[in-house]
Amino acid sequence: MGPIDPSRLSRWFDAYGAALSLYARQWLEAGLADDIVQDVFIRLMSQRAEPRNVKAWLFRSVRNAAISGLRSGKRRQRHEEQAAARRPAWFEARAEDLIDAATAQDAMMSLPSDQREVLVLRIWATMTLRDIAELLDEPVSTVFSRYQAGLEGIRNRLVLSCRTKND
Amino acid sequence: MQNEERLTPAEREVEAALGALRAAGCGIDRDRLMFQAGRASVRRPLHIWQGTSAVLCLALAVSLAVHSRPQPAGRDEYASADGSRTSTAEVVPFETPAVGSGLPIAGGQYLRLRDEVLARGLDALPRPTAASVTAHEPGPQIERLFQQVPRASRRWGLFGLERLVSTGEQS
Amino acid sequence: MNRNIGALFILHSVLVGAAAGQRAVLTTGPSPQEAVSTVRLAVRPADAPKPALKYLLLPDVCDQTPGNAAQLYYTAQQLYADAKKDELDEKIDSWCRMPLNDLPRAEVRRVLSEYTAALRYVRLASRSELCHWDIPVRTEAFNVVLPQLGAFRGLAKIVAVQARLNISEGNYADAMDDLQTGFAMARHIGEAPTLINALVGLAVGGLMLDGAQDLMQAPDAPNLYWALADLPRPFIDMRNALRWEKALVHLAVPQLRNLTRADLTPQQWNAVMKNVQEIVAMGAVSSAETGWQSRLEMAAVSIKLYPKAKRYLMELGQSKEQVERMPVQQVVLMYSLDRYTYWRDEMFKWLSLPYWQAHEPLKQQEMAFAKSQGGALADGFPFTMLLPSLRRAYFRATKCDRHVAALQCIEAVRMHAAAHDGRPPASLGDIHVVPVPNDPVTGKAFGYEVKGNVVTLDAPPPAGDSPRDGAKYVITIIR
Repeated sequence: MGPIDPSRLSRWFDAYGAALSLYARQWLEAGLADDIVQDVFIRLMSQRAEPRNVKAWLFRSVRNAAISGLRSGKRRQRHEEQAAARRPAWFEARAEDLIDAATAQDAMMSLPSDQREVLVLRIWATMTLRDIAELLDEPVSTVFSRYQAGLEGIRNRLVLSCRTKND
Repeated sequence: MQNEERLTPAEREVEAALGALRAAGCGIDRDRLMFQAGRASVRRPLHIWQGTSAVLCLALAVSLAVHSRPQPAGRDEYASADGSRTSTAEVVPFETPAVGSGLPIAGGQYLRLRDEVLARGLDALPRPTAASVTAHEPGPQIERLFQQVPRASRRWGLFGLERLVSTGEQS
Repeated sequence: MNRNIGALFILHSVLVGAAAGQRAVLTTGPSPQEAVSTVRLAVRPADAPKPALKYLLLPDVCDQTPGNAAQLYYTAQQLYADAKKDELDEKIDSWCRMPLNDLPRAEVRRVLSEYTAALRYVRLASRSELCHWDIPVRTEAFNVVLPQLGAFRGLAKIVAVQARLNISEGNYADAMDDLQTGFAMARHIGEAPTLINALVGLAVGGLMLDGAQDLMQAPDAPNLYWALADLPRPFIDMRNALRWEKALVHLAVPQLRNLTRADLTPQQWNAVMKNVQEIVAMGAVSSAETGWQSRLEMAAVSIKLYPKAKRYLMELGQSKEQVERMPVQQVVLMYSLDRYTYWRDEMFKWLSLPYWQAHEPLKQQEMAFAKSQGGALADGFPFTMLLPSLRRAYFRATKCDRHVAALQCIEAVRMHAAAHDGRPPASLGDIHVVPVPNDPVTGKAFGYEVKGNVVTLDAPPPAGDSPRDGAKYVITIIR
């Protein structure tokens, strides 16, 4: 396979840009997360040839760069900061949504990071559990357990949220 | 998949509800990204041995990525002669017009509307409803006029309106 | 025998009189089967009025008032909005088109009474000496906010309907007054420095020409030859609007005027590029093509353009070292802008010539331009995406002038018929009472054919263009 055609980049950006940004925000604040994603796309275009699985390559690269960035001391998006009205939104607020976007973000932020990561990869990056397992270098059963626990955690958080509003 | 079958109905509900949410767009400057990523691919030195070209490309891409980091609006960093970097929020070396920040033309943007009117004639113009025409007060002088003239009086004939505007008296 | 002839003559007169008593046009508008737009009129012979300029289609200087019409037009818009009922739009549209005989006068009068204030103010506006819209094209460029042009369409229609009502009731002086209002408004709108304004002005002018057509057919209607001749040619000068179109890119991004001397950092070049990209994104037309996609396409093409752009600048005399010192964005912009300027001027230059001279070379140039835009490396991309369809714009303006000229021709035929016992001329060349205008689209005389008392005036479409761009006038001379 030869050099990557630049016009393909737009398709990959369309397909994965938002999900990659959401993924990177698991570790970093929005601005830094976007920087990481941008760097990863640029690195992709610098490859001699197109990776066999571009999607997996992108998410793995973002993960590695984000964790690396986190370890090098960059600020992590803290849960307390999310309570501020000016936090960057993870999800678009739309009238037809079943869950309010801000509440969903709160609920996601309250999860342990390993559960949250699997939820993001499964739901918004639309990866199979097998692909997620390969990315995380974990058994499929472990990935599924985290997924199930994450969903349960969200559900509990939402129930709690409803009760709080109705009190 | 076998694993999905073991989700409880309640978990499936949450999964579906979360799945309906759309991830917000990222803040990446898409055009800058396309240009620099494309430049990174174009400027790969083709004649260098394959063993070293990947390293050089990576170095170039990283260098580009570092130097293309978006600057906050209005701030430019300049390297001074002694190598120190100063950052100023005051200096705007040049100004570009705030393209894209103007009010939209009623019904659309200029270029698009222009080409549609050329192709389709007046039917391409947005057809104002009574509300939409009143929503766009045209200019400061007219605004002042209408602040003086009560809405009800606008139904009057010419002389009633003239009298009201000139004397403040209703006819 | 004489009595029989006399009876026949009386019968003929009665029948003609009955037809004359109908204040109606025979059908107007195209027959569905005809590709060419066909207008059918029934007119009576009529000499020029005395004095010759008794009737004018634009307000006389003596009737004008000092001041800026724009403010009054805005007031008229506001009054129109207050009175407007959306559910009546379709009805008003139909009143603009239906045979005069079928106009439901009582209902039309009742509806128009709701617009009394708006009609009054649009009349006032049309009598103003000047019209300065103060549209800030210079500073706002592609982001300019235009006045509510859609509302002008509504105002023009109620003026047109009022004119039709007056014609149908024999109030010709009032009808002329309405037409003056409409023609003046058309000119005022069309004088603003945008192509959209020019097109709206032309459309309003077209509505009023339809009104003039109605008046020409009314019983004892005046001959409008000199009134039509008095209208400015071109009625709306498209070149004014197109001069602004030509300048828009430089107004929007002033840095483009001095690309060779610009001493900008790569970040600043990025900002210039971003501005250009945003402008281009605004021009995305089809629903399938979003602003984002056009920007991405632009970025991808820019990447491919760089090597070609470098070579181009070196061929123009820049040294290799100079070019390689320039940021990539500057090189690409200089090349693209140079190519855009070439294509732009190759097309715009033809606007300096009459349409009939410009049509064919402009068409060839547009074809060459379209060819240059194909493929990944569109010549002059992205700037060339901002160019309007010049030939189409120029044709629209000339089509309006053609309508004026055709009606003037018909009035010349009426004048000739008045001097020749109601008989139409065998050819346009037989008309000596007044000069007969040529068709400004072709630069030649209108096609002319006469069969008995039916005259056909033919205005063919520009060579190679759709038949729908042509027009045919079928005129029955009622004796």
